[in-house]
Amino acid sequence: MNSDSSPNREWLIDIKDLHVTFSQDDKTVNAVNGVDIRVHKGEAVGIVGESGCGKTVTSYSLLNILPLNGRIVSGEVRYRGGNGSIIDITKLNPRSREMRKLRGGEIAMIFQEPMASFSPVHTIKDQIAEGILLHQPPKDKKVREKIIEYLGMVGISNPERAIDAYPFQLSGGMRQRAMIAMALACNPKVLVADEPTTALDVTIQAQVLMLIKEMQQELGLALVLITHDLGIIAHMADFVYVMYLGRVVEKGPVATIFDSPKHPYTRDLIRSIPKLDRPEKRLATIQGNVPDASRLPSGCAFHPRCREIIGEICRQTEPVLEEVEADHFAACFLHSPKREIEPGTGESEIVQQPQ
Amino acid sequence: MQSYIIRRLLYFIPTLILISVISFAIIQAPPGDFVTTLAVQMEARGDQVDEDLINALRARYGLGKPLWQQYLIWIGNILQGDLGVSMAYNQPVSRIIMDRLPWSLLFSFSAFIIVYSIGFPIGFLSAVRQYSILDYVLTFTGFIGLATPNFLLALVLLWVYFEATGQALVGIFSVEYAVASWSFGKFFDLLNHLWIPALIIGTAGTAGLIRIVRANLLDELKKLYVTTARAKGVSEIRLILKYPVRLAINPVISNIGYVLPALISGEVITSIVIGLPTIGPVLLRALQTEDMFLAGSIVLILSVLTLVGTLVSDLLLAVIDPRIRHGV
Ligand SMILES: Nc1ncnc2c1ncn2[C@@H]1O[C@H](COP(=O)(O)OP(=O)(O)O)[C@@H](O)[C@H]1O
Ligand SMILES: [Mg+2]
Repeated sequence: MNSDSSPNREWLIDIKDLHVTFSQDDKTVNAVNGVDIRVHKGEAVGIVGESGCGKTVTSYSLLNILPLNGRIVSGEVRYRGGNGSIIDITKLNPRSREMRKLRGGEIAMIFQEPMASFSPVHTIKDQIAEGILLHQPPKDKKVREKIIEYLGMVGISNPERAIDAYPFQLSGGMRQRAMIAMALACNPKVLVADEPTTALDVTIQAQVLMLIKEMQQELGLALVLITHDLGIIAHMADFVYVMYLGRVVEKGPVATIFDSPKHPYTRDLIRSIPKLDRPEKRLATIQGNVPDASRLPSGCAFHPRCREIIGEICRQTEPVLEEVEADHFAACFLHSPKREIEPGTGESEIVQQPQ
Repeated sequence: MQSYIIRRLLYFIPTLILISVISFAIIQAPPGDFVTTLAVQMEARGDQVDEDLINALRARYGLGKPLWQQYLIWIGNILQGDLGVSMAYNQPVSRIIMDRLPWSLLFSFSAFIIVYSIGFPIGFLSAVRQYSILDYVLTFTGFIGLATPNFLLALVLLWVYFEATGQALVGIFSVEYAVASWSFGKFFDLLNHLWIPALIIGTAGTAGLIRIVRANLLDELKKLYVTTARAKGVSEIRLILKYPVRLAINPVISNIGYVLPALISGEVITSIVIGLPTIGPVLLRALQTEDMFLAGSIVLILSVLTLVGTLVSDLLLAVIDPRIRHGV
């Protein structure tokens, strides 16, 4: 279904070979190192990976809102507009009117910290109205009514009161619902949710995720759900990208990824999902820590932590994504015919990461 | 909001009492009471010491009574506008202060305007253009402003003014207007004499404010809510003015109360160099000559003004920041 060649599924977002770096204290942080991600109309795409793997940076690139020390070095982020025109976001000036029309209006974002993501000194109404007035100035209905309608839609009780509240007067869950209402109020085509429930109580998490899923289906949105928790992906996404150190190491339909994970990193991630039926078992963790993105390991970036390392090839050659079964790709020599080729010879050198 | 205001006003009263006690302690600090000192001084000048006058003064200020009674009498006198007598000037303290304080307030207020109208925009520019050449130039200039002693700056500017106009910038009026009655000419002459001292008095404060504004704004610019606004498609300039500037203003406003005493203490040297009829030099001289009613009264008045300043800034904060209003 998600096959790139599928004719009945038009992509909305097509990220190609994206490289993003940050300059920090005379160092270059290689945050994103050649990511390809495609999002189709109405599809729920999950991006998963440990903290520091470049998920947030990828989503910021999507809106061209990288911090000043960050730079898209190469690659494309293409967006298919309503009239069929294709825009390469990386070519747009971040401050241009064209770029700003896409932000919020076409691609809306929900952030991790609902408290920090709202200004504490402006009312909910003020902050939601801002986007509506920019992108969807209502003709017949008043802005206030429209906001109340959206607040009610995301399950905020007593929206007539909540609209005039300051963010600190709402509970964490209600704030995140208001954040969702703010994103939806401009009728976007794509909803990007970056760890939308990480900062919330466990009991609230499921409710908010359900709401996001409901809204996505009801409004026919494409959803990009970013999380470090594969457990969430299982319930929310159709297609999964597993990221490690700024690269996609595995991608595939969600069922396939869970049934037959190919990359040792994905396998480790699945093993570390908390299981409700086995609460007595200590949670498995991935050995070691995510390395510093300013000093990427050579070869396969995961090799220092890999349980299934093959040998020299993993240390010296960077694996590329290869199709292991229909629609399912992994970047690992375990599943590559290249594992027989010794490093330093033949074609393996062309996949060496550009520095 | 109401409870906040009430609470804030309730803090005001004990602080006020504390300040008055400290001022009273300053007055009482030198050995002996001031009437005795006065009598000694009169004798030394060869004046006839009027026993009746001495006794009247003793009665009026409750000298010889327990300290707490003297304190209450002193407060009572102040409330009736009697701040005591200056020995050095041989005048009621209240008259000296009434002569001088308006000038001080005028210079401080002008300096205050200069501090905020220069400091805020520069701090703002420095922050939104962080690490640009503009930022480096402005920050460097700010440090020079912070590091230059007022007297040096005063002397340099006096010299520049003299070279440029051929006139000495002394006092607050040129000779031809000094005794003239008020006119437009006199008013402009005053303005002309006002801005240079105000600039000098305000340099350190301006430099300080630049740093506060720059640091606060840089902090706020990194906050997530800025990214949220950006992700909504709000234009950069609108977004910066609406969100981070609004939040960076808080510490600046809470700083207002402390600007006044800094300006007045910074004013002393400038006033001495330029010969301004302000209160700073009087305070200095009063302390040197142990003219304690004068010194204590000036300290009291300046402290009260500061207290009022902080009260006003706290109330302003409550108006602009809902978190304070709602007691978060
Ligand atoms: N503003 C920044 N300056 C320098 N490095 C950054 C900045 N933002 C992110 N990074 C770095 O980029 C990498 C990816 O970060 P991020 O996308 O936030 O990870 P994730 O969202 O997957 O947890 C990390 O190594 C992080 O330290
Ligand atoms: Mg993140």
